[in-house]
Amino acid sequence: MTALVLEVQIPFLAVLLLVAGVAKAFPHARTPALGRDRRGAVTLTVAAVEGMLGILLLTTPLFVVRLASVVFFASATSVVADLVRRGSDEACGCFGRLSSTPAGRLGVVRAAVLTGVAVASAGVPKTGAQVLGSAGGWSVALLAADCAVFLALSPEVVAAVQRRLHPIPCEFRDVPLGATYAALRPSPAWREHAASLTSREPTDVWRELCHRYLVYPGEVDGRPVEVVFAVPIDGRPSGVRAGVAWDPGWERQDDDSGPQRVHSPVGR
Amino acid sequence: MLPSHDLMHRRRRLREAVFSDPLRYLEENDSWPRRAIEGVIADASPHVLVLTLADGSQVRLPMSASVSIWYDGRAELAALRPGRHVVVRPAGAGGLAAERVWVDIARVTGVITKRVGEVFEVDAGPHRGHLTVTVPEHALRRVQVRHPRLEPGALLDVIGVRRDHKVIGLRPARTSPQPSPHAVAPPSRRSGTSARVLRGTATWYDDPDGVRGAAYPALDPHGAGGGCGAGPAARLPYLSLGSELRVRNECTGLEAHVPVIECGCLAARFCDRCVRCGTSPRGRVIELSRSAFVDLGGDLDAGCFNVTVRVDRP
Repeated sequence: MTALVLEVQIPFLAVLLLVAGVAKAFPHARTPALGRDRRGAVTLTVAAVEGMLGILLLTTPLFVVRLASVVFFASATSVVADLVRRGSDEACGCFGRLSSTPAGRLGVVRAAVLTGVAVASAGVPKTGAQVLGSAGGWSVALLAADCAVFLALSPEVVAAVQRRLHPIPCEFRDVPLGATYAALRPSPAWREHAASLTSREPTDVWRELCHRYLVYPGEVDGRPVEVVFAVPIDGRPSGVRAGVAWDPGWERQDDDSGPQRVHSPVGR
Repeated sequence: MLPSHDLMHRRRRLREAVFSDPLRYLEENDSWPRRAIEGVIADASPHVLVLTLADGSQVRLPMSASVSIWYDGRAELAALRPGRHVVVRPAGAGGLAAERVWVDIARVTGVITKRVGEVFEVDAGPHRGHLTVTVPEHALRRVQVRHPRLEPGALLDVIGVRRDHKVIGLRPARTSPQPSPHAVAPPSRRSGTSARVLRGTATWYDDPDGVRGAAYPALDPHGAGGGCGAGPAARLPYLSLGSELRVRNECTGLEAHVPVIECGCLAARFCDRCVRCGTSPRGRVIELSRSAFVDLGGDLDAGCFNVTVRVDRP
């Protein structure tokens, strides 16, 4: 039984390394460009090492590969422990963008446990693929148990549950302009007013709490207007609202022309 | 960029085009409880103070019987010499009778970048640039009570006087020490309902223009929000230049609508608490211009007051 427990750790570690490598290599689209430039090379190198180790663990029983995986997990433990010791706000980035919360003790425990698993299973003579090929009911159960323990030790899961239970209020969320445009363009409000716009470039963009305001120059019945869109920060196109403000040069709307919701400038 | 008050009115007009329910703003003249007056002394006598204002006009202020003068501490009428800059708060009963007068008061807030003996060079943020302050030997110990580490990289916030175009730092503006970053508990994730009500510390900054407004730390860094580029250290709701805040001095009960006119890049790095009337629940959430601070009943020499800031927006 002990031999079986140790055997299933090889494919478990291999799959884990492959998943971590993929998560690092394909960051979320919203990763800031600055971050990609500065750390991209290091992250990609680590991802490549993880991918290579994962594949080798699946395909070869060489001791040097097992030793390399032990060194890799021990190094990861040391890096995460150092971040925690320094009280840094940096995330460990173990699973790319999924690991976005600051490194904590749980992350150190997880990395240390994985190091221990790698040490314990270093002497297994089978490859990961062979273990998976001959897997029976017990092996599947043990793998499931491995996954359960791993998820319980994952700060990413804890953070995801917390996010789900208590989402960050929209007032505090930093949302890039790209996300605002992505919500604005398919919205019914944009379609309704697109014809009256004289430029596709906004003249003013600002944010207050849960809305970002975009102002476009437009023309209604030959009169200059400013079309204002209020785009909700949560990015729902259906939540986009629009209004038309007369150019300050026009004192007031003197007839029934133009859209219903036209507002004259307020007194200064 | 439009001047801040024009920007505020323009954005208010545009916002109301979308949200057809205009917010009920107080008339500005009514909302400002007491109008602080800033100017340069043209003449001073025991009964009347004559000031030259920034626009060149002159104003005569009667001195109230209980006038209190600050010039490097409590001072006598002799401190009111022609040529000196003063900030005057009229008496609460109305009229222009001077009740509090601060003479040549100055403040330097920022990160120390260089120290040569008593002279400190301070980075006050991208908007305010680099400032130089001299902390004389006799004031150094007092400053070190709140700023034990007076070396490059450390935060500094001192109040002093301006003499011959130099700022002499005389006392620390902090009233409590800076807690370590890890000792400050982050706001609860469940604080959704309080995201628009901020209770903390208001300080003042040394604006050269005598304008009325506020520097707010969490301005949107995208578009024309006016953000400083770096995110705030503390969690605050995002706003933009021209946003209007309802600011209430919890120590005096005075309240006013104040426009955001600048990014308070460094304010959120100060986690010290104001202890003017009880301990403020959190660090600095807003920096007010000198006039706005005095209007709301703040004492410039004290440096801070406990504040509640509300943002009435959709």
